[in-house]
Amino acid sequence: MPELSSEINQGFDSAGRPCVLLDVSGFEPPEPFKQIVKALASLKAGDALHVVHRREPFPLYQQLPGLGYEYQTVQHIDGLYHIYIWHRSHKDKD
Amino acid sequence: MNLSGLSLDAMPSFQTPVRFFVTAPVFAMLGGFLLMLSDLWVSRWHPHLIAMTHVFTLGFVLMVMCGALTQILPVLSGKGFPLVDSTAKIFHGLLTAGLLVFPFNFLIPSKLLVLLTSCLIAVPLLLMVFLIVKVFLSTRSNVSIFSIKLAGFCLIFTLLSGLWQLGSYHWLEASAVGKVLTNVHLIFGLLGWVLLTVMGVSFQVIPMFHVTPEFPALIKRRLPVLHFVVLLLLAGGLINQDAVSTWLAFVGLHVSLIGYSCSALWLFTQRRRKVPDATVNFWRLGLVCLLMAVGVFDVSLFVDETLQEPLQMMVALCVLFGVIIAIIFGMLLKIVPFLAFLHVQQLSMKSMATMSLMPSMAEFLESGRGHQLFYGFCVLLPMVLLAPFEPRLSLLAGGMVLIVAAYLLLLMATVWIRYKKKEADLLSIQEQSQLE
Repeated sequence: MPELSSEINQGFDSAGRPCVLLDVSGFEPPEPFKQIVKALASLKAGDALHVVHRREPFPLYQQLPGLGYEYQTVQHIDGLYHIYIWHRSHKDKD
Repeated sequence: MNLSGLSLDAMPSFQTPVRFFVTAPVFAMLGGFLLMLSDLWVSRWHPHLIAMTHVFTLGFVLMVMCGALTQILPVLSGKGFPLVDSTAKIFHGLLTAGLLVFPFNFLIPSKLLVLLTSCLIAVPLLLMVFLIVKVFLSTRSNVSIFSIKLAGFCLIFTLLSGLWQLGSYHWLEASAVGKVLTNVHLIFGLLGWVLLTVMGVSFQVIPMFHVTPEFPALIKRRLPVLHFVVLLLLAGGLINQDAVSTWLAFVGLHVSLIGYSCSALWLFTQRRRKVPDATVNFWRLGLVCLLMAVGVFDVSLFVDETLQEPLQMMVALCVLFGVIIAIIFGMLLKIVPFLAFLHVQQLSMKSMATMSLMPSMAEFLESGRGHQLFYGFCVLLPMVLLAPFEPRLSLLAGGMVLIVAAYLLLLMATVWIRYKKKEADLLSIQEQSQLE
């Protein structure tokens, strides 16, 4: 279960990594998945991706470890999910 | 719906559910052929009419539902079933054979045929019921699964009452109880099994695929229970010839059917992105037809007897074609390309060389094709609904059903062919990148 919060980090994730914001909450499947994968591919080293989603993307969660990514999910009290995704190698550098 | 237990690794191959989805339109074409016989509308007890109805309800509707279950059950169970693909192939073969033989029970009465059909259809369905119970017992329930469980009860009752009637048609004399049981069979089949499944599925797929708010909690949690209780009350009222229970059940049915249709129609007005979508059009058509069926049924209670039977046939056709078949057409347009995407996406994510080659859903099925199917359906529907009043329309209506079902078959086959091509392309790129 993701942590429920009334405050959401904007611009930086909880570890202080700069975040690129991607709001996919208005798109129907599979568009969010495609947009997230595309955004991850163009993410700069050391940055994280901050995804705003209507649902928890469980199929994405299953793919991320295999691609070397880690993630953290926070649910805002308005019901939206905020998912922070970063590459494992970037965390190791920290 | 809590999807955290889902496992994509447990997904069966794309061919497994799609085999059912491609077979279903073939049965709809067969149903269209039977619809072309204009003597159907002499009486609702005419064997040709009963045969045609079952070609659509079992051949099309049940076939699609079984296909959907072969996809959903392994994913819901989280670990898949051993040999799911080969088991589903045998299951599909038996079911197809049984359903091809089934209509002949009404055309060429034979005791041997009854036994053969019962075995061919009952064996795969019992296997399916066993798997459903096994998975649902180990899966945390939610509003969708709860509604589908209620639909499962209705399906079991529909099958048992249907088999009983088929047996008594050959071994016993027809009786007044038999006719009441036929009505109960029809009510539990169309309004119970199919509509409760549609409700349960819609609670999940409308907000997810069409980016709408969730259904109101009252509708999601209470309405399927109310609907099920009302059906039990109606069945009891009809069997015991108790007018009070029957009328109470009619009032309850109005509440559940109108409540469900209006709330779903309202959700579609709340879509975040109002892009043209054939699936949305099919849903809206289905929901409006559900309201129309309720209205026409009410009218049929206050007209003289000569009009009553064709009007009530129109209600049944409105529920079968206008609601159920329309919604299934719409969902197939959305779900089959989505499944193709899901499998190709999983394959493309296996290698960095193919990660950026993820296709779009439109590459499997262009949205314009879906709209063409919808317009075709809009032409055939009034013809089918008016056929009980003007039997000469049957030929035209049946011909249109044949054409529209053939077009659906073409679309499903197109997705399958494009999927195979995409899969082959990705595998070849991945092989080349490994060699390099």
